[in-house]
Amino acid sequence: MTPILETRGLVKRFGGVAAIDGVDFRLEPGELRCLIGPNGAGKSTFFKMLTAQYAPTAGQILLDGDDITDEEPSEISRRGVGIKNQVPDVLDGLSVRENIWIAARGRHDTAGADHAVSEILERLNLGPLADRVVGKLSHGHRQWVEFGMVLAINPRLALLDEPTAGMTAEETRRTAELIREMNRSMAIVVVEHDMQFVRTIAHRVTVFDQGRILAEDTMDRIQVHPEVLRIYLGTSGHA
Amino acid sequence: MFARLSETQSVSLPPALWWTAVALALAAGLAIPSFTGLDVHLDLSIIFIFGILALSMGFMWGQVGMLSFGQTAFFGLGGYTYAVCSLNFGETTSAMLLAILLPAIFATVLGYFMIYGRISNIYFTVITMVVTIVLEKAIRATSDESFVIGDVWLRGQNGIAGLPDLQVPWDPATTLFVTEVYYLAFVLMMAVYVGYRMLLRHRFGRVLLGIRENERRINLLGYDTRRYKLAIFAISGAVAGLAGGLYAVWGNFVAPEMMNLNSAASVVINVIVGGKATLLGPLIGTGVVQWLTAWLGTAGVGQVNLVLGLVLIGFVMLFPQGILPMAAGLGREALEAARQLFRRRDLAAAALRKETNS
Repeated sequence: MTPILETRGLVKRFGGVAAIDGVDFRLEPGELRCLIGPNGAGKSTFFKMLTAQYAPTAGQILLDGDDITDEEPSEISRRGVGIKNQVPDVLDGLSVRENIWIAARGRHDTAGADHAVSEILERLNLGPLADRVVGKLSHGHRQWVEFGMVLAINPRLALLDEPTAGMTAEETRRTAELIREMNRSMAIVVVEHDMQFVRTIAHRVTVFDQGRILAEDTMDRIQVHPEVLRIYLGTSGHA
Repeated sequence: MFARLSETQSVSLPPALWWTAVALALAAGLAIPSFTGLDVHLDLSIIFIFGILALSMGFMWGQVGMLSFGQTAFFGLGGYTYAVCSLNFGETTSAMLLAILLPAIFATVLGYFMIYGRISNIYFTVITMVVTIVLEKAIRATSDESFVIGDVWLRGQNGIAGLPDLQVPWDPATTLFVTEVYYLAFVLMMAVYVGYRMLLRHRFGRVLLGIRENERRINLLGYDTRRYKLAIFAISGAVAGLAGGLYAVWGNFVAPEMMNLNSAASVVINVIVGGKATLLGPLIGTGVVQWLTAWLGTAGVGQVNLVLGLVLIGFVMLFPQGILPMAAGLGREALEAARQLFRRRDLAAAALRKETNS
Protein backbone atom coordinates (compact mmCIF):
# COMPACT_ATOMS: atom_id res chain seq x y z
CA MET A 1 0.00 0.00 0.00
CA THR A 2 1.23 3.50 -0.80
CA PRO A 3 1.84 5.35 2.47
CA ILE A 4 -0.20 8.53 2.86
CA LEU A 5 2.95 10.29 4.01
CA GLU A 6 6.56 9.43 3.38
CA THR A 7 9.79 11.34 3.82
CA ARG A 8 13.07 10.26 2.30
CA GLY A 9 16.36 11.49 3.72
CA LEU A 10 14.77 14.70 4.97
CA VAL A 11 17.28 17.28 6.22
CA LYS A 12 16.85 20.79 7.60
CA ARG A 13 19.87 22.85 8.54
CA PHE A 14 19.76 26.22 10.26
CA GLY A 15 23.24 27.59 9.67
CA GLY A 16 25.55 24.80 10.81
CA VAL A 17 22.96 23.06 12.97
CA ALA A 18 20.96 20.17 11.57
CA ALA A 19 17.54 20.33 13.22
CA ILE A 20 16.41 17.41 11.08
CA ASP A 21 19.18 15.10 9.97
CA GLY A 22 18.08 12.46 7.51
CA VAL A 23 14.58 11.39 8.49
CA ASP A 24 12.88 8.49 6.68
CA PHE A 25 9.32 8.39 7.88
CA ARG A 26 6.28 6.39 6.72
CA LEU A 27 2.66 6.73 7.72
CA GLU A 28 -0.03 4.38 6.44
CA PRO A 29 -3.48 5.70 5.47
CA GLY A 30 -5.74 5.92 8.52
CA GLU A 31 -2.89 5.45 10.97
CA LEU A 32 -2.60 7.33 14.26
CA ARG A 33 1.01 7.93 15.23
CA CYS A 34 2.65 9.77 18.10
CA LEU A 35 5.98 11.54 17.83
CA ILE A 36 7.87 11.87 21.07
CA GLY A 37 11.33 13.03 21.95
CA PRO A 38 13.13 15.56 24.13
CA ASN A 39 12.92 19.30 23.47
CA GLY A 40 14.94 20.25 20.42
CA ALA A 41 14.67 16.76 18.92
CA GLY A 42 13.23 18.32 15.73
CA LYS A 43 9.58 17.32 15.97
CA SER A 44 8.12 20.78 15.33
CA THR A 45 10.65 21.46 12.60
CA PHE A 46 9.60 18.19 10.98
CA PHE A 47 5.94 19.28 11.03
CA LYS A 48 6.84 22.68 9.63
CA MET A 49 8.61 21.04 6.70
CA LEU A 50 5.67 18.75 6.03
CA THR A 51 3.46 21.83 5.67
CA ALA A 52 6.02 23.90 3.70
CA GLN A 53 6.47 26.43 6.48
CA TYR A 54 10.16 25.53 6.19
CA ALA A 55 11.86 24.46 2.99
CA PRO A 56 13.92 21.28 3.44
CA THR A 57 17.67 21.55 2.92
CA ALA A 58 17.65 18.10 1.35
CA GLY A 59 15.38 15.10 0.92
CA GLN A 60 11.89 14.44 -0.32
CA ILE A 61 8.35 14.60 1.04
CA LEU A 62 5.69 12.42 -0.59
CA LEU A 63 1.96 12.57 -0.05
CA ASP A 64 0.13 9.54 -1.48
CA GLY A 65 3.29 8.92 -3.47
CA ASP A 66 3.28 12.45 -5.02
CA ASP A 67 6.36 14.57 -4.46
CA ILE A 68 5.21 17.69 -2.61
CA THR A 69 8.64 18.86 -1.49
CA ASP A 70 8.50 22.13 -3.45
CA GLU A 71 4.82 22.93 -3.05
CA GLU A 72 3.35 26.00 -1.36
CA PRO A 73 1.66 25.71 2.07
CA SER A 74 -1.72 26.45 0.47
CA GLU A 75 -1.26 23.69 -2.13
CA ILE A 76 -0.34 21.13 0.51
CA SER A 77 -3.35 22.17 2.56
CA ARG A 78 -5.61 21.72 -0.47
CA ARG A 79 -4.21 18.22 -0.90
CA GLY A 80 -5.80 17.47 2.47
CA VAL A 81 -3.17 18.18 5.09
CA GLY A 82 -4.26 20.11 8.18
CA ILE A 83 -1.95 21.29 10.92
CA LYS A 84 -2.42 22.49 14.48
CA ASN A 85 0.71 24.35 15.43
CA GLN A 86 2.31 24.22 18.84
CA VAL A 87 1.37 27.77 19.84
CA PRO A 88 -2.33 28.35 19.06
CA ASP A 89 -2.16 29.64 15.50
CA VAL A 90 -5.51 31.37 15.15
CA LEU A 91 -6.98 34.63 13.87
CA ASP A 92 -6.94 36.56 17.14
CA GLY A 93 -8.90 39.60 16.04
CA LEU A 94 -11.86 37.63 14.67
CA SER A 95 -14.62 35.72 16.39
CA VAL A 96 -14.62 31.97 17.00
CA ARG A 97 -17.30 31.59 14.35
CA GLU A 98 -15.32 33.61 11.79
CA ASN A 99 -12.16 31.61 12.46
CA ILE A 100 -13.86 28.32 11.75
CA TRP A 101 -15.96 29.72 8.90
CA ILE A 102 -12.91 30.99 7.01
CA ALA A 103 -11.37 27.53 7.33
CA ALA A 104 -14.57 25.78 6.22
CA ARG A 105 -15.27 28.18 3.36
CA GLY A 106 -12.06 27.08 1.67
CA ARG A 107 -13.59 23.61 1.18
CA HIS A 108 -17.34 24.29 0.95
CA ASP A 109 -19.72 26.76 -0.64
CA THR A 110 -21.27 29.33 1.71
CA ALA A 111 -24.20 27.14 2.76
CA GLY A 112 -21.90 24.17 3.30
CA ALA A 113 -19.50 26.29 5.34
CA ASP A 114 -22.32 27.65 7.52
CA HIS A 115 -23.47 24.10 8.14
CA ALA A 116 -19.97 22.83 8.92
CA VAL A 117 -19.41 25.68 11.37
CA SER A 118 -22.59 24.92 13.34
CA GLU A 119 -21.62 21.28 13.49
CA ILE A 120 -18.07 21.95 14.66
CA LEU A 121 -19.13 24.55 17.23
CA GLU A 122 -21.41 21.98 18.76
CA ARG A 123 -18.92 19.15 18.56
CA LEU A 124 -16.28 21.20 20.36
CA ASN A 125 -18.71 22.83 22.83
CA LEU A 126 -17.72 26.22 21.46
CA GLY A 127 -21.32 27.33 20.82
CA PRO A 128 -21.54 29.73 23.77
CA LEU A 129 -18.27 31.37 22.70
CA ALA A 130 -19.12 31.56 18.99
CA ASP A 131 -19.25 35.35 18.78
CA ARG A 132 -16.38 36.07 21.13
CA VAL A 133 -13.09 37.42 19.81
CA VAL A 134 -10.56 34.60 19.87
CA GLY A 135 -7.70 36.77 21.14
CA LYS A 136 -9.61 37.33 24.37
CA LEU A 137 -10.17 33.64 25.11
CA SER A 138 -8.12 31.40 27.39
CA HIS A 139 -5.22 29.39 26.01
CA GLY A 140 -7.23 26.17 26.22
CA HIS A 141 -10.15 27.63 24.31
CA ARG A 142 -7.86 28.97 21.61
CA GLN A 143 -6.47 25.44 21.27
CA TRP A 144 -10.02 24.23 20.64
CA VAL A 145 -10.61 26.94 18.07
CA GLU A 146 -7.54 25.77 16.19
CA PHE A 147 -8.82 22.21 16.42
CA GLY A 148 -12.05 23.52 14.94
CA MET A 149 -10.16 25.03 12.03
CA VAL A 150 -8.41 21.73 11.34
CA LEU A 151 -11.73 19.88 11.47
CA ALA A 152 -13.29 22.49 9.17
CA ILE A 153 -10.90 21.74 6.33
CA ASN A 154 -11.70 18.06 6.76
CA PRO A 155 -8.18 16.82 6.07
CA ARG A 156 -7.04 13.32 5.16
CA LEU A 157 -3.93 13.86 7.25
CA ALA A 158 -3.92 15.94 10.44
CA LEU A 159 -0.69 17.03 12.09
CA LEU A 160 -1.21 18.00 15.72
CA ASP A 161 1.70 19.65 17.53
CA GLU A 162 1.26 19.32 21.30
CA PRO A 163 -2.53 19.55 21.17
CA THR A 164 -2.99 19.33 24.94
CA ALA A 165 -0.44 21.98 25.95
CA GLY A 166 -2.07 24.34 28.45
CA MET A 167 -5.21 22.22 28.79
CA THR A 168 -6.81 21.06 32.02
CA ALA A 169 -7.03 17.33 32.82
CA GLU A 170 -10.64 17.29 31.71
CA GLU A 171 -9.83 19.09 28.45
CA THR A 172 -6.97 16.66 27.85
CA ARG A 173 -9.34 13.73 28.26
CA ARG A 174 -11.77 15.30 25.76
CA THR A 175 -8.91 15.95 23.37
CA ALA A 176 -7.92 12.29 23.48
CA GLU A 177 -11.51 11.35 22.68
CA LEU A 178 -11.67 13.85 19.85
CA ILE A 179 -8.41 12.61 18.33
CA ARG A 180 -9.60 9.01 18.38
CA GLU A 181 -12.85 10.10 16.79
CA MET A 182 -11.03 12.13 14.11
CA ASN A 183 -8.87 9.10 13.41
CA ARG A 184 -11.91 7.25 12.04
CA SER A 185 -11.80 9.47 8.97
CA MET A 186 -8.21 10.64 8.75
CA ALA A 187 -4.60 9.73 9.42
CA ILE A 188 -3.09 11.63 12.32
CA VAL A 189 0.39 12.41 13.60
CA VAL A 190 0.56 13.84 17.11
CA VAL A 191 3.56 15.40 18.79
CA GLU A 192 3.12 15.01 22.51
CA HIS A 193 5.08 15.22 25.75
CA ASP A 194 2.47 13.73 28.05
CA MET A 195 3.26 9.98 28.10
CA GLN A 196 -0.05 9.12 29.71
CA PHE A 197 -1.79 10.84 26.84
CA VAL A 198 0.39 9.07 24.28
CA ARG A 199 -0.47 5.75 25.83
CA THR A 200 -4.19 6.52 25.60
CA ILE A 201 -4.27 7.40 21.94
CA ALA A 202 -1.47 5.83 19.95
CA HIS A 203 -0.67 2.38 18.69
CA ARG A 204 2.69 3.18 17.23
CA VAL A 205 5.18 5.69 18.52
CA THR A 206 8.15 7.27 16.77
CA VAL A 207 10.94 8.64 18.92
CA PHE A 208 12.93 11.60 17.63
CA ASP A 209 16.32 12.49 19.02
CA GLN A 210 18.78 15.07 17.72
CA GLY A 211 17.00 15.37 14.38
CA ARG A 212 16.89 11.62 13.73
CA ILE A 213 14.46 8.79 14.29
CA LEU A 214 15.83 6.87 17.26
CA ALA A 215 13.18 4.18 17.48
CA GLU A 216 9.77 3.29 16.15
CA ASP A 217 7.53 0.71 17.78
CA THR A 218 4.47 0.11 19.91
CA MET A 219 4.24 2.09 23.13
CA ASP A 220 4.80 -1.03 25.22
CA ARG A 221 8.05 -1.83 23.52
CA ILE A 222 9.15 1.81 23.33
CA GLN A 223 8.79 2.02 27.10
CA VAL A 224 11.39 -0.66 27.57
CA HIS A 225 13.64 0.32 24.65
CA PRO A 226 17.08 0.85 26.29
CA GLU A 227 18.12 3.75 24.04
CA VAL A 228 14.82 5.54 24.56
CA LEU A 229 15.02 5.06 28.31
CA ARG A 230 18.49 6.49 28.27
CA ILE A 231 17.79 9.66 26.29
CA TYR A 232 14.24 10.38 27.19
CA LEU A 233 12.08 8.46 29.57
CA GLY A 234 14.87 7.80 32.02
CA THR A 235 15.86 11.41 32.35
CA SER A 236 12.44 13.03 32.17
CA GLY A 237 10.82 10.85 34.79
CA HIS A 238 7.51 10.82 32.92
CA ALA A 239 7.16 7.09 32.49
CA MET B 1 -24.08 33.90 9.09
CA PHE B 2 -22.52 37.01 10.57
CA ALA B 3 -25.17 39.20 12.07
CA ARG B 4 -22.44 41.61 13.00
CA LEU B 5 -18.93 42.16 11.83
CA SER B 6 -16.49 41.13 14.52
CA GLU B 7 -15.74 43.36 17.47
CA THR B 8 -12.59 44.56 15.74
CA GLN B 9 -14.97 46.60 13.65
CA SER B 10 -15.34 48.97 16.56
CA VAL B 11 -18.44 50.53 15.03
CA SER B 12 -20.62 47.77 13.70
CA LEU B 13 -24.33 48.01 13.10
CA PRO B 14 -26.75 45.21 12.29
CA PRO B 15 -27.32 45.12 8.50
CA ALA B 16 -30.84 46.62 8.58
CA LEU B 17 -29.69 49.56 10.65
CA TRP B 18 -26.59 49.97 8.51
CA TRP B 19 -28.60 50.12 5.28
CA THR B 20 -30.92 52.66 6.89
CA ALA B 21 -27.91 54.77 7.86
CA VAL B 22 -26.56 54.54 4.31
CA ALA B 23 -29.94 55.54 2.87
CA LEU B 24 -30.16 58.50 5.24
CA ALA B 25 -26.62 59.61 4.41
CA LEU B 26 -27.41 59.28 0.72
CA ALA B 27 -30.57 61.36 1.08
CA ALA B 28 -28.74 64.02 3.11
CA GLY B 29 -25.85 64.19 0.64
CA LEU B 30 -28.20 64.54 -2.30
CA ALA B 31 -30.25 67.21 -0.52
CA ILE B 32 -27.32 69.43 0.47
CA PRO B 33 -26.90 71.17 -2.93
CA SER B 34 -30.47 72.50 -2.90
CA PHE B 35 -29.76 74.80 0.01
CA THR B 36 -26.05 75.60 -0.39
CA GLY B 37 -23.97 77.60 -2.84
CA LEU B 38 -21.46 76.55 -5.50
CA ASP B 39 -18.52 77.20 -3.16
CA VAL B 40 -19.83 74.58 -0.75
CA HIS B 41 -20.40 72.11 -3.60
CA LEU B 42 -16.80 72.61 -4.70
CA ASP B 43 -15.40 72.20 -1.18
CA LEU B 44 -17.45 69.12 -0.44
CA SER B 45 -16.69 67.52 -3.82
CA ILE B 46 -12.98 67.57 -3.13
CA ILE B 47 -13.56 66.03 0.29
CA PHE B 48 -15.50 63.22 -1.37
CA ILE B 49 -12.76 62.71 -3.96
CA PHE B 50 -10.02 62.61 -1.32
CA GLY B 51 -12.35 60.42 0.72
CA ILE B 52 -12.40 57.84 -2.09
CA LEU B 53 -8.60 57.98 -2.19
CA ALA B 54 -8.39 57.56 1.60
CA LEU B 55 -10.77 54.60 1.46
CA SER B 56 -8.58 52.87 -1.12
CA MET B 57 -5.67 53.21 1.29
CA GLY B 58 -7.58 52.69 4.54
CA PHE B 59 -9.23 49.47 3.42
CA MET B 60 -5.92 47.83 2.62
CA TRP B 61 -4.26 49.08 5.78
CA GLY B 62 -7.06 48.59 8.27
CA GLN B 63 -8.65 45.41 6.93
CA VAL B 64 -5.76 43.58 5.23
CA GLY B 65 -2.74 45.02 7.02
CA MET B 66 -1.05 46.27 3.84
CA LEU B 67 0.20 49.83 4.36
CA SER B 68 0.49 51.42 0.94
CA PHE B 69 2.15 54.80 1.29
CA GLY B 70 1.84 55.38 -2.43
CA GLN B 71 -1.84 55.35 -3.31
CA THR B 72 -1.14 58.76 -4.83
CA ALA B 73 0.82 57.00 -7.58
CA PHE B 74 -2.46 55.50 -8.82
CA PHE B 75 -4.31 58.73 -8.04
CA GLY B 76 -1.88 60.73 -10.17
CA LEU B 77 -1.83 58.12 -12.90
CA GLY B 78 -5.64 58.24 -12.99
CA GLY B 79 -5.60 62.02 -13.23
CA TYR B 80 -3.00 62.12 -15.99
CA THR B 81 -4.75 59.33 -17.86
CA TYR B 82 -7.95 61.36 -17.85
CA ALA B 83 -6.02 64.47 -18.95
CA VAL B 84 -4.12 62.86 -21.80
CA CYS B 85 -7.00 60.73 -23.07
CA SER B 86 -9.76 63.33 -22.84
CA LEU B 87 -7.63 65.91 -24.67
CA ASN B 88 -6.56 63.38 -27.29
CA PHE B 89 -9.94 61.73 -27.83
CA GLY B 90 -12.10 64.83 -27.41
CA GLU B 91 -14.34 62.46 -25.49
CA THR B 92 -14.39 61.83 -21.75
CA THR B 93 -16.24 58.61 -21.02
CA SER B 94 -13.48 56.34 -22.25
CA ALA B 95 -10.92 58.70 -20.68
CA MET B 96 -12.57 58.19 -17.28
CA LEU B 97 -12.78 54.42 -17.73
CA LEU B 98 -9.11 54.31 -18.68
CA ALA B 99 -8.34 56.45 -15.60
CA ILE B 100 -9.61 53.50 -13.59
CA LEU B 101 -8.25 50.70 -15.75
CA LEU B 102 -4.68 51.90 -16.27
CA PRO B 103 -3.90 52.39 -12.55
CA ALA B 104 -5.45 48.96 -11.90
CA ILE B 105 -3.12 47.38 -14.46
CA PHE B 106 -0.15 49.30 -13.08
CA ALA B 107 -1.06 48.16 -9.55
CA THR B 108 -1.33 44.56 -10.76
CA VAL B 109 2.14 44.61 -12.32
CA LEU B 110 3.75 46.46 -9.41
CA GLY B 111 1.87 44.32 -6.88
CA TYR B 112 2.89 41.11 -8.63
CA PHE B 113 6.58 41.83 -8.16
CA MET B 114 6.14 42.96 -4.57
CA ILE B 115 3.72 40.30 -3.38
CA TYR B 116 5.02 37.29 -5.31
CA GLY B 117 8.56 38.50 -4.53
CA ARG B 118 7.63 37.91 -0.88
CA ILE B 119 8.91 41.25 0.33
CA SER B 120 8.10 42.11 3.91
CA ASN B 121 5.41 44.60 4.95
CA ILE B 122 7.85 47.38 5.65
CA TYR B 123 9.40 47.08 2.18
CA PHE B 124 5.92 47.08 0.66
CA THR B 125 5.33 50.44 2.35
CA VAL B 126 8.69 51.85 1.32
CA ILE B 127 8.43 50.67 -2.28
CA THR B 128 4.94 52.11 -2.76
CA MET B 129 6.20 55.40 -1.36
CA VAL B 130 9.22 55.40 -3.64
CA VAL B 131 7.05 54.61 -6.66
CA THR B 132 4.84 57.64 -6.14
CA ILE B 133 7.88 59.89 -5.71
CA VAL B 134 9.54 58.46 -8.81
CA LEU B 135 6.37 59.05 -10.83
CA GLU B 136 6.17 62.60 -9.54
CA LYS B 137 9.80 63.28 -10.50
CA ALA B 138 9.28 61.65 -13.88
CA ILE B 139 6.32 63.90 -14.65
CA ARG B 140 8.26 66.94 -13.42
CA ALA B 141 10.98 66.09 -15.92
CA THR B 142 8.61 66.44 -18.88
CA SER B 143 8.87 70.24 -19.24
CA ASP B 144 10.55 69.85 -22.59
CA GLU B 145 8.15 70.17 -25.49
CA SER B 146 9.28 66.82 -26.83
CA PHE B 147 7.35 65.03 -24.05
CA VAL B 148 4.13 64.55 -25.90
CA ILE B 149 1.56 61.75 -25.78
CA GLY B 150 -0.60 61.95 -28.90
CA ASP B 151 -1.21 65.68 -29.19
CA VAL B 152 -0.86 66.38 -25.49
CA TRP B 153 2.27 67.97 -24.06
CA LEU B 154 2.84 66.81 -20.44
CA ARG B 155 4.25 70.24 -19.42
CA GLY B 156 6.41 69.03 -16.51
CA GLN B 157 5.85 70.80 -13.21
CA ASN B 158 3.33 73.22 -14.71
CA GLY B 159 0.77 70.48 -14.99
CA ILE B 160 -1.91 70.28 -17.66
CA ALA B 161 -4.73 72.80 -17.42
CA GLY B 162 -7.92 73.30 -19.37
CA LEU B 163 -9.11 69.72 -19.23
CA PRO B 164 -12.55 69.11 -20.71
CA ASP B 165 -15.56 68.81 -18.43
CA LEU B 166 -16.97 65.32 -18.04
CA GLN B 167 -19.59 64.50 -20.65
CA VAL B 168 -22.73 62.55 -19.97
CA PRO B 169 -21.93 59.19 -21.63
CA TRP B 170 -25.21 58.90 -23.54
CA ASP B 171 -25.38 62.63 -24.33
CA PRO B 172 -21.86 63.95 -25.04
CA ALA B 173 -23.14 67.44 -25.79
CA THR B 174 -24.07 67.82 -22.13
CA THR B 175 -21.22 68.26 -19.67
CA LEU B 176 -21.18 68.18 -15.89
CA PHE B 177 -20.84 71.48 -14.05
CA VAL B 178 -19.87 72.07 -10.41
CA THR B 179 -23.06 70.80 -8.80
CA GLU B 180 -23.29 67.76 -11.07
CA VAL B 181 -19.68 66.93 -10.24
CA TYR B 182 -20.70 67.15 -6.59
CA TYR B 183 -23.46 64.59 -7.15
CA LEU B 184 -21.14 62.33 -9.10
CA ALA B 185 -18.33 62.48 -6.53
CA PHE B 186 -20.76 61.93 -3.67
CA VAL B 187 -22.55 58.99 -5.25
CA LEU B 188 -19.26 57.37 -6.26
CA MET B 189 -17.85 57.80 -2.77
CA MET B 190 -20.93 56.13 -1.32
CA ALA B 191 -20.68 53.38 -3.93
CA VAL B 192 -17.03 52.74 -3.10
CA TYR B 193 -17.84 52.70 0.62
CA VAL B 194 -20.75 50.30 0.18
CA GLY B 195 -18.70 48.21 -2.23
CA TYR B 196 -15.81 47.79 0.19
CA ARG B 197 -18.25 47.02 2.97
CA MET B 198 -20.01 44.33 0.89
CA LEU B 199 -16.63 42.90 0.04
CA LEU B 200 -15.93 42.38 3.74
CA ARG B 201 -19.08 40.34 4.14
CA HIS B 202 -18.14 37.85 1.47
CA ARG B 203 -15.61 35.10 1.34
CA PHE B 204 -13.00 37.29 -0.34
CA GLY B 205 -13.27 39.94 2.37
CA ARG B 206 -13.30 37.39 5.19
CA VAL B 207 -10.06 35.91 3.88
CA LEU B 208 -8.56 39.42 3.69
CA LEU B 209 -9.43 39.95 7.37
CA GLY B 210 -7.84 36.59 8.07
CA ILE B 211 -4.67 37.67 6.27
CA ARG B 212 -4.51 40.76 8.46
CA GLU B 213 -4.76 38.56 11.53
CA ASN B 214 -2.42 35.73 10.57
CA GLU B 215 -1.30 35.28 6.99
CA ARG B 216 0.55 32.03 7.66
CA ARG B 217 -2.55 30.42 9.11
CA ILE B 218 -4.62 31.46 6.11
CA ASN B 219 -2.03 29.84 3.84
CA LEU B 220 -2.17 26.67 5.93
CA LEU B 221 -5.94 26.62 5.46
CA GLY B 222 -5.40 26.28 1.73
CA TYR B 223 -5.79 29.86 0.51
CA ASP B 224 -3.03 31.26 -1.66
CA THR B 225 -2.81 34.59 0.15
CA ARG B 226 -0.69 36.15 -2.58
CA ARG B 227 -3.60 36.06 -4.98
CA TYR B 228 -5.88 37.74 -2.47
CA LYS B 229 -3.36 40.45 -1.68
CA LEU B 230 -2.68 41.12 -5.33
CA ALA B 231 -6.39 41.31 -6.09
CA ILE B 232 -7.10 43.84 -3.35
CA PHE B 233 -4.04 45.88 -4.34
CA ALA B 234 -5.32 46.03 -7.92
CA ILE B 235 -8.84 46.92 -6.79
CA SER B 236 -7.51 49.67 -4.56
CA GLY B 237 -5.34 50.91 -7.43
CA ALA B 238 -8.47 51.17 -9.55
CA VAL B 239 -10.32 53.04 -6.79
CA ALA B 240 -7.41 55.46 -6.34
CA GLY B 241 -7.35 55.90 -10.14
CA LEU B 242 -11.06 56.73 -10.08
CA ALA B 243 -10.36 59.39 -7.44
CA GLY B 244 -7.58 60.78 -9.65
CA GLY B 245 -9.87 60.95 -12.68
CA LEU B 246 -12.51 62.73 -10.60
CA TYR B 247 -9.89 65.13 -9.30
CA ALA B 248 -8.94 66.03 -12.88
CA VAL B 249 -12.61 66.58 -13.67
CA TRP B 250 -13.15 68.63 -10.52
CA GLY B 251 -10.36 71.12 -11.18
CA ASN B 252 -9.96 70.69 -14.97
CA PHE B 253 -6.30 70.39 -14.05
CA VAL B 254 -3.62 67.85 -13.17
CA ALA B 255 -0.12 68.47 -11.79
CA PRO B 256 2.79 66.40 -10.44
CA GLU B 257 1.84 67.55 -6.92
CA MET B 258 -0.90 64.92 -7.04
CA MET B 259 1.85 62.34 -6.53
CA ASN B 260 4.38 64.07 -4.29
CA LEU B 261 5.36 63.01 -0.80
CA ASN B 262 3.11 65.63 0.72
CA SER B 263 0.03 64.27 -1.01
CA ALA B 264 1.02 60.70 -0.22
CA ALA B 265 1.41 61.55 3.47
CA SER B 266 -1.93 63.40 3.47
CA VAL B 267 -3.73 60.21 2.52
CA VAL B 268 -2.09 58.33 5.38
CA ILE B 269 -2.84 61.19 7.78
CA ASN B 270 -6.50 61.30 6.77
CA VAL B 271 -6.76 57.59 7.51
CA ILE B 272 -4.93 57.88 10.84
CA VAL B 273 -7.07 60.79 12.01
CA GLY B 274 -10.32 59.01 11.19
CA GLY B 275 -9.08 55.62 12.31
CA LYS B 276 -8.21 52.67 10.11
CA ALA B 277 -10.23 50.05 11.94
CA THR B 278 -13.47 51.06 10.23
CA LEU B 279 -14.37 52.04 6.67
CA LEU B 280 -16.09 55.19 7.85
CA GLY B 281 -12.87 56.32 9.55
CA PRO B 282 -10.97 57.30 6.38
CA LEU B 283 -13.97 59.33 5.16
CA ILE B 284 -14.41 61.13 8.47
CA GLY B 285 -10.67 61.72 8.76
CA THR B 286 -10.56 63.24 5.28
CA GLY B 287 -13.46 65.53 6.14
CA VAL B 288 -11.90 66.67 9.40
CA VAL B 289 -8.42 67.26 7.98
CA GLN B 290 -9.73 69.07 4.90
CA TRP B 291 -11.97 71.24 7.02
CA LEU B 292 -9.14 71.96 9.45
CA THR B 293 -6.79 72.87 6.59
CA ALA B 294 -9.35 75.20 5.05
CA TRP B 295 -10.16 76.77 8.40
CA LEU B 296 -6.48 77.31 9.28
CA GLY B 297 -6.02 78.90 5.88
CA THR B 298 -8.82 81.41 6.35
CA ALA B 299 -8.43 82.04 10.07
CA GLY B 300 -5.17 83.88 9.46
CA VAL B 301 -3.19 81.56 11.71
CA GLY B 302 -0.26 81.55 9.31
CA GLN B 303 2.12 78.58 8.99
CA VAL B 304 -0.82 76.34 8.13
CA ASN B 305 1.33 73.25 7.66
CA LEU B 306 3.14 73.74 10.95
CA VAL B 307 -0.07 74.19 12.92
CA LEU B 308 -1.73 71.33 11.08
CA GLY B 309 1.28 69.15 11.84
CA LEU B 310 1.11 69.95 15.55
CA VAL B 311 -2.63 69.32 15.64
CA LEU B 312 -2.12 65.96 13.93
CA ILE B 313 0.65 64.92 16.31
CA GLY B 314 -1.66 65.83 19.18
CA PHE B 315 -4.39 63.77 17.59
CA VAL B 316 -2.26 60.69 17.17
CA MET B 317 -1.04 60.91 20.75
CA LEU B 318 -4.47 61.51 22.27
CA PHE B 319 -6.55 59.25 20.03
CA PRO B 320 -4.21 56.62 18.57
CA GLN B 321 -7.19 54.66 17.23
CA GLY B 322 -8.60 57.67 15.39
CA ILE B 323 -11.64 59.87 15.91
CA LEU B 324 -14.32 57.35 15.09
CA PRO B 325 -13.30 54.52 17.44
CA MET B 326 -12.69 57.17 20.11
CA ALA B 327 -16.20 58.57 19.65
CA ALA B 328 -17.68 55.07 19.59
CA GLY B 329 -15.79 54.22 22.79
CA LEU B 330 -17.08 57.35 24.50
CA GLY B 331 -20.59 56.55 23.28
CA ARG B 332 -20.39 53.02 24.68
CA GLU B 333 -19.10 54.32 28.02
CA ALA B 334 -21.85 56.91 28.23
CA LEU B 335 -24.42 54.23 27.46
CA GLU B 336 -22.97 51.94 30.10
CA ALA B 337 -22.89 54.78 32.65
CA ALA B 338 -26.53 55.58 31.91
CA ARG B 339 -27.43 51.91 32.29
CA GLN B 340 -25.61 51.76 35.64
CA LEU B 341 -27.42 54.88 36.77
CA PHE B 342 -30.81 53.45 35.89
CA ARG B 343 -29.96 50.14 37.51
CA ARG B 344 -28.93 51.91 40.71
CA ARG B 345 -32.09 53.98 40.63
CA ASP B 346 -34.20 50.85 40.18
CA LEU B 347 -32.37 49.11 43.03
CA ALA B 348 -32.84 52.12 45.26
CA ALA B 349 -36.52 52.28 44.35
CA ALA B 350 -36.93 48.57 45.09
CA ALA B 351 -35.14 48.95 48.42
CA LEU B 352 -37.37 51.88 49.27
CA ARG B 353 -40.50 49.90 48.41
CA LYS B 354 -39.28 47.02 50.58
CA GLU B 355 -38.60 49.44 53.43
CA THR B 356 -41.99 51.08 53.25
CA ASN B 357 -43.78 47.73 52.91
CA SER B 358 -42.15 46.30 56.01
